[in-house]
Amino acid sequence: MVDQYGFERAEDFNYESYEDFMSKHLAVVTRRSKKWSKLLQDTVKIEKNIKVKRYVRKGVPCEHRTQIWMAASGAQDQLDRNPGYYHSLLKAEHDPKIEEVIRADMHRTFPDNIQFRASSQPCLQKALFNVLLAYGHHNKDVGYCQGMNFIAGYLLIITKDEEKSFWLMDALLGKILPDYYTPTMLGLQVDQEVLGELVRMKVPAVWQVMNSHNVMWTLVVSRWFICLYVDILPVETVLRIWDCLFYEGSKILFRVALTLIGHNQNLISQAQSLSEICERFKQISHGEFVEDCHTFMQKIFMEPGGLSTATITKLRKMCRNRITSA
Amino acid sequence: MSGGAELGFTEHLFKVLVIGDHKVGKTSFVKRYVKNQFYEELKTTIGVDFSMKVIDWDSHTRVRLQLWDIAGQERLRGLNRVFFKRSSGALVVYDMTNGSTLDGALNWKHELDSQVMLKNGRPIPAVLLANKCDETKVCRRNASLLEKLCQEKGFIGWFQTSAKENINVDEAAKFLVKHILQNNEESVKEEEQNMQINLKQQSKSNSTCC
Repeated sequence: MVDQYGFERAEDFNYESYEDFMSKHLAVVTRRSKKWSKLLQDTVKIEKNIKVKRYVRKGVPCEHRTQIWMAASGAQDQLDRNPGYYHSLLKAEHDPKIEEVIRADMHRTFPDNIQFRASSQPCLQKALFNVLLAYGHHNKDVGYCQGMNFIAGYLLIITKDEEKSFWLMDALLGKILPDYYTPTMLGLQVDQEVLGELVRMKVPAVWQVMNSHNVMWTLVVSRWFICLYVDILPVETVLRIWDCLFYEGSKILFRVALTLIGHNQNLISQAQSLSEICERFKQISHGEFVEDCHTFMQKIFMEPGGLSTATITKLRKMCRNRITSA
Repeated sequence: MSGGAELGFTEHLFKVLVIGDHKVGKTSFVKRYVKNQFYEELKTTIGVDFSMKVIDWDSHTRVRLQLWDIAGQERLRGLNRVFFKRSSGALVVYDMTNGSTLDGALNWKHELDSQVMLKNGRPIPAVLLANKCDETKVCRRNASLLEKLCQEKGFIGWFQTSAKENINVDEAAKFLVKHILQNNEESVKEEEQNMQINLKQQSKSNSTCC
């Protein structure tokens, strides 16, 4: 059995609880879909305002996702302003080193998704290769970093379009996210520390247990940031997070992390050793709490409490100084 | 990193790194060793993957191996270098079908030695794994080259392994654990000797006092 995106369901997939959830969820999705259709009928351009923000937080219906992501992130503007650019990148001469590292990850991106099988028609592996190759030559400071394969893969699954995926990738890496994928990965190191500071303020019990067992944040959360929750949280939940990521920016990544950690603070803080802590951090990204994407998305805006952009900016600055002067 | 003894029964916890260039088969090796399973297509490892293997070494020794499967891409390597600390041993993997990954393995070994060492200053035990041996064969020339490399670079030994066909996976790990246990015993002995020397010196100084 595969889901609507082509992912095979795990052997232990719980169909009963899924059907339970879906019967409620479908009603929500249908309602949202109608509202979105009306909104898009009445508007020519997606603006940033309270109403659209509320709509985005409640989920962009699948049929409008590409359009909303493209509009909200500025990717559409870039595509319109640079016609033919993507294809010219593909036609140009390529750095064999970048080509090789990208190729090495082709079979290792979504072996559990039928659209990425070499035998499938059409096979998304070729498209994935093209998007990553073009991006690696477009942004030479970044080139290719593992993790980008999972992101480009999701973009292709949703947009089914290489060029759009390329410009969405550019919006993410060039504008929305800090420097996560550059050779030093400084932005990533900073955000891991920022999360640590936020946990210290908001979930001190977890901060304490991490501290007493000497667990560095990068050990348990680097994948969360590098993969933007792809392959960590359930597909539908990731897409809902990405709706907000494209519309509101990278702050959402902290909200998700803080909710996961805060909601499971008892479980984590009772861990007795480093390996138990790691095990529990893996455990909290599974189960009903994260499967029910609609409730989960409501929780991320409630449970961690206030989280102003000013706080994040301040913490990022502080942590960046701490890391670079170490 | 060893636990307390109870009625002559000892439990040890050892941290073992699994390192090497990307796509040489580190995760496959760990999955074969820990779960005795092979997956034709695994996903790229991002960050670090943990697994635990419990070995009943003999009737009075249990070993818990904490395996740290570390992402191979160069960029992620910098990020993960901090995880070398406090490890007791390492499996350094290369892909026999891709010669450049052997150079990669030597770089990893070099980096390992610069980051971590035993209490007595010697390098921590590391085994070189020539993985994917089901796809190619080690010829005699290769074998003597690997032998020489092991001596030069300070590996305790090498194995040709296949996670796919389950060749030498247990053997290589066992070989490493044996060395880790020996090191552990030696360091305990050294500590005891040091203590005795201290005691002797103390009693000497005591006697001159009297």
